[in-house]
Amino acid sequence: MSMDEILTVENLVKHYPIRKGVVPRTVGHVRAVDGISFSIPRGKTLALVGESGSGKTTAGRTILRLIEPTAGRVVFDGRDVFSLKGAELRRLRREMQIIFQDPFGSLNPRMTIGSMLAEPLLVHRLDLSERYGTSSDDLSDISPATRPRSPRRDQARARVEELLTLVGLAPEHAGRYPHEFSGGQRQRIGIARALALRPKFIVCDEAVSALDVSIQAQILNLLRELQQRFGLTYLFIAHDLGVVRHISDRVAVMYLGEIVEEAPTREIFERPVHPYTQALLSSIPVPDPRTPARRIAIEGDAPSPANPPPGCRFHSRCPIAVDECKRGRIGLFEINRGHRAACIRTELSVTLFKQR
Amino acid sequence: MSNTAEPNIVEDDQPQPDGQPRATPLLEINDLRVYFDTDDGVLKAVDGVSLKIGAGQTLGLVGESGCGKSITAFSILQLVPVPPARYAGGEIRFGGRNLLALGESEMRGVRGNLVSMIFQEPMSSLNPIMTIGSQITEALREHRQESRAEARRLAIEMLGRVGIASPEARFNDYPHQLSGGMRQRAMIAMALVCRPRLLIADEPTTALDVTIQAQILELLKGLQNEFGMSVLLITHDLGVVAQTCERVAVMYAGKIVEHAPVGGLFEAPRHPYTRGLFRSLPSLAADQETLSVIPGSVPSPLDFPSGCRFRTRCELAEAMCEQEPELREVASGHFAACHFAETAP
Repeated sequence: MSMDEILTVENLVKHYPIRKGVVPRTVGHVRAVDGISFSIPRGKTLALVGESGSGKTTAGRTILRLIEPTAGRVVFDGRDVFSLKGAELRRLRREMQIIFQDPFGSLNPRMTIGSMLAEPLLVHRLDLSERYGTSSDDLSDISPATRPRSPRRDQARARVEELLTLVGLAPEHAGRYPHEFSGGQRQRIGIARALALRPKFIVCDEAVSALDVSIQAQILNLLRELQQRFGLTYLFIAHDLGVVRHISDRVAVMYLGEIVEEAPTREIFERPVHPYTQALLSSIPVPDPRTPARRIAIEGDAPSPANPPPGCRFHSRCPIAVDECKRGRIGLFEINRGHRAACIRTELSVTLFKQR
Repeated sequence: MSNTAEPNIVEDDQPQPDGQPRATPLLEINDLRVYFDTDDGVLKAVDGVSLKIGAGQTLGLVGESGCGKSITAFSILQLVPVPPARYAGGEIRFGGRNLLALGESEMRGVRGNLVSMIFQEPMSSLNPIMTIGSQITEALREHRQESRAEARRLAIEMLGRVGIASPEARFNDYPHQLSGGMRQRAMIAMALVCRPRLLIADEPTTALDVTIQAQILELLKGLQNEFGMSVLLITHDLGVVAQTCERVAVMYAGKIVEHAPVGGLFEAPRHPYTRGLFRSLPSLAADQETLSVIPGSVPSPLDFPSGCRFRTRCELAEAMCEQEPELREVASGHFAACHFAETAP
């Protein structure tokens, strides 16, 4: 393991039991996440990409311990996430946050934005004398009337206004309800809430997927700016590869609960090695009518994670699979420095991708 | 029993010798206005939209949420609930007749028969308690008065055509038994089983994964060529537009701001809004530090700015933009509604 990994995930597994019958019995397991390992250096962004059912969302939530894992280990900033309890776990929760896809569904419609943002500050008894590191200029538009007068509640209010300013909203928005905001503004509120406890690490779970492209660009720029300002580390879960290319330093591609390829962003976009990654990249419609689609066809739907194919899980849809692919599980091989892929036919796949 | 009246629609199938769009377009929307009367005032969701689609052509209708693209498309089949909506003006000519003037029973002869529609979310547009098969045969029994056995045979054939494996078995399945991609295929089978002249596809692949999206787009293209139908594709994905459409109309705040052949639009977009959209796209090919953004957000449809509706967010806006710009031809077949369309940077 190299120098400064803030998050290390080792063999993370999450299986959901399938129960059937009048007296429910476990008849099988959905292998949502089936032994994934990766790490993220401090201040960097790893994108976890894959299609529906690949397990990327489950992975993100299990890492945060919003879902209890079946097996595996997650080390965050030197602490074993799955063994913490009580006060230590609560402290950890401050440092690891999440931004959801649907900002409306994740905001309480009956709470004002201000009380929603103040709640975690009060619950976690954060030291409110510390600022977020905004310069005093940023706060000049906060009226003196709303500056702290008496203890915590007012301090919290000042913090809320600071947070709103930070994400590009106005302090007076604190008194409004979620329905009064547009989709882009709601996502800014979601980001403000994630930032409230000054986390070190944020899981962005399809954080821009529901937004229109012009709004998406604004939110991506904001996430980037906040990362640089506060040294945040992101686990960016997404299916839009254009967005991923823009925001991440490294990319891990998931298929049916496993990571099939992991590499630095530019490397994976320019030299994808796993046939699934290649198919995924070649399926994106290019916004240029002069560039004809050169799709690597994969047929059919992904198999059910309750009953994944043996051996390489992609073999049932892979254009270059051979019998050997159906035998044992194929681990990740080092292809280049920092580029790993789980495929035994990479020489052929690389050649075919170039000839496409 | 069928209670639908077959509308008398003039078919104009003579191809033009020069391969240009036929003299009489299949669908022609003129100055369509769809308004909603709300407690807060009149919401002008669609405010003077004009479009043409030639036979066999694919027109992309793009724009962000709330721009009116779906309301425009829903209006073609009179699917916008009236009230709260009202058709405040314009006409929708299809094969020589104004669809907006047709009554409900005449519309039933159009829907699913001459003009079909597929939607973004197959699960919410398929009936969960009817089998796939009975939902497909329903259209055949209704519009074509086919016998039960013949309808079943045609439906199974259509299921096979849209790429559903073992269609005889799937015929008796319920929607929840199919995967997302399969449901979208079943919906396409349902929409196309009567061989409509026009297919309206409202974000047909937005809810699908990209590998499945590619399969569905290829399937639609194949069926379009085979059946010779026209497609109105509503989408926000400029990549999908580039790969599937011949012409594109860009909507903003209830109006069409640009209308052009796909090549011209992508090479030289003339409206500042269209250019803004292109610049906001994260590129797959290049590393960009910061994405360029369109400042602000779409104005509320209850309170559009006077004149050019984009002027409050536009980098080129000047005093003259308070005068509404007409949609005018700035290059061959390329229309833009901007006073500065010729002076594009």
